[in-house]
Amino acid sequence: MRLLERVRERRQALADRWGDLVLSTYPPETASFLRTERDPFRNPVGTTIRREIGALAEGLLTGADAAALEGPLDAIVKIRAVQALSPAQAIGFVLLFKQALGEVVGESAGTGSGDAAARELADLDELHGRVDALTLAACDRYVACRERIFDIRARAATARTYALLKRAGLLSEVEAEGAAAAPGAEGRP
Amino acid sequence: MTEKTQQELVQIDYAPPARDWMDPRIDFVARRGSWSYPGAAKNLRYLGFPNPRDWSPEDADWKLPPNWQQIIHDGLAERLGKYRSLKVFLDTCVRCGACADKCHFFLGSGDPKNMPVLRAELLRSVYRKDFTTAGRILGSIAGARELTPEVLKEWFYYFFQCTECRRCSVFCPYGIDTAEITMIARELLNLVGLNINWVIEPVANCDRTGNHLGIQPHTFKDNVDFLVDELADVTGVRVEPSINRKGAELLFVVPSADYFADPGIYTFMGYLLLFHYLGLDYTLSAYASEGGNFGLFTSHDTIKRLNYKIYHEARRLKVKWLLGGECGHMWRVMHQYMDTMNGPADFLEAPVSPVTGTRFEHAASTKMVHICEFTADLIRNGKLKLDKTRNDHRRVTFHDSCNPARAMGILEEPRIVLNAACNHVFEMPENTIREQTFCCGGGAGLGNDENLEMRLRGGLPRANAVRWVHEKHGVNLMACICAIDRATLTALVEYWVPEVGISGVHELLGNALVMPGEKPRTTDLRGLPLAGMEGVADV
Repeated sequence: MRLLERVRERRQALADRWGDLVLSTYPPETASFLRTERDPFRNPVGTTIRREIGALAEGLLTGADAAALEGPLDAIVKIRAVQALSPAQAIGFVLLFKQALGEVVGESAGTGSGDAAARELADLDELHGRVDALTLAACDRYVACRERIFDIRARAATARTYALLKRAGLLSEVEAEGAAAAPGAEGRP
Repeated sequence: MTEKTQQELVQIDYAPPARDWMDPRIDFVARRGSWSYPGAAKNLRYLGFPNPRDWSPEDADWKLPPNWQQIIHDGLAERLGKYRSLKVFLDTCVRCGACADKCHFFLGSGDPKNMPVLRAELLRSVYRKDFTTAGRILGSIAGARELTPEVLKEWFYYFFQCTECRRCSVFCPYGIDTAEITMIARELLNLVGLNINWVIEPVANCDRTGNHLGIQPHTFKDNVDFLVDELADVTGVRVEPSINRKGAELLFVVPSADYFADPGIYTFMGYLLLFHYLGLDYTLSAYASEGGNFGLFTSHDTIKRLNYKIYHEARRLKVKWLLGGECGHMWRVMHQYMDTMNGPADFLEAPVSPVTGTRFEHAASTKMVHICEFTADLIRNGKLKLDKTRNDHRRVTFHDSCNPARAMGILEEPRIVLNAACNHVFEMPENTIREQTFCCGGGAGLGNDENLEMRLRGGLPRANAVRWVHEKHGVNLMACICAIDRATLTALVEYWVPEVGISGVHELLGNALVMPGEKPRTTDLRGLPLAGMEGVADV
């Protein structure tokens, strides 16, 4: 049986182990809570990580395209981008897939000689390549989240100043046709 | 040294190093985004607070008074004598952990010291060392710690990471109110000049001009006039609020954000429409121009000092009773502290609705009624003509603001108003609303820009429930009855659920209220087109 098929058969074990490794990146007191509480509203971080890691593992094994993985990836990166983690720590969770994979398929996978081993190695390379691509996608998502935070901060400051200047009658603006073009204070309706 | 294999070399340990909770080191540079800027010396000087100076948490030397340990020790001794509750709270905790996973900051950050039990333990450990026999003799074995500069810095970090929302206290089998422990810890920190500017500047401004921003009477009037003009544009009705008018039946007090900040101004417009509709004999005050009381985040003395001005103004204006707007912690102060500090307000009359005749017995001592109680009573008595379809462009959920919900029990009234004003109202999951509501993450003075990342962590549990109700019911607006909520939830949803906006409850009431003599409405109070009016509205 090809390695990829073997892994697919054990996809649940792989996802569980990967999720477990990700939760282990939190302090031990926190990790034990994140692992055990199943209510998504009592434990938003733990349940989101479990759920989305499951979706990502499935996507990696089936070779889903980047767009399909964007939602699950974003859900996790969005959380880790605001926690007290360095950028490497925030997105490094993706690479933990490789550790989980190694444990699930066994250390010896892809190390022997002959055609079977070569096929195993090719399968492993394929999976590792997908993980690398997902890691890069996580970088993009992380930067987008951080930019969003800076945008929120900047917009709040701009909106405050704008409102004050307008109230003080210090602005003379060109009226847009048929409508005042002033942005909402937070830049949104 | 043994040579490592290639496999071992690329092995990265992602698990954080295990640290004893008693180890207090905080790296303030690495943790930028999760603490607030310190109180400016000018504000401390104005208030007569101790140790005014310029300093930064990132500095090694926080410029404390030489005898700071003694000051804290004496301060704690004094408060243990004064507040029986403090001693009970410090002594009774059995570390059962019921509160541990209830704090929004813990749930969002994953930092164990955001567990309420551990946050309280930061103070409790010092209490044990200085005030209990077991702690004195057994030291760390009994969970006791010396008060070192590092411990004090840890206090500053974590006690200004508690929004005093009191969700943890709902779950404590002993009824320990960890928010009160935070309040005392902040009082002690204030004794040596440790506080944050986003609290202390509003306190200084409020003490001087009557509101957080330092808005002076002429600007207050300008702002109100501006909103009256806006209302006339949308509704064709010119409302006529009065300011500082002596002899009015009641004084109406709002959080200042309601008359200067988006989206609070739309809530204020809703109030003005309602009062005009009723022909209510009310006045605003340019001095009692702040319902919020940041004394609650500073010290008991400061709460009293800021609360008093509202009653002073009520006496000066010779009103009969007080009506209060959609503010959060103002109501905790009114409901739980005012009567002890400045009450009873027996120079006022017990509030009676001039429209329905309802006597608000529960406010017999403070003489102050919540606007949602007042409006819900009007609705129950069929006194308002409402066109719900004017909110049909909104699918609304309700966020129970912590203080009105947990400190006051205002749970049904805002829902009565919302359901009367809107056709599409949906609840978030049961364990995230009412008494169990999740904080916005920005209360108790933490809603500032520099602390945004901590707010986003703390607001995650709330946002998680908002996302659920958005995905399940297409909710696009979350209403709440707190000015801090309206400010901080706006940033929160922008990060977590940008499809959802934030409003007050009386904004939606204002949309629905059919005013005598109004022009046909094509937009809501924000100038957004009503459902079916997208092509017609002049926005």
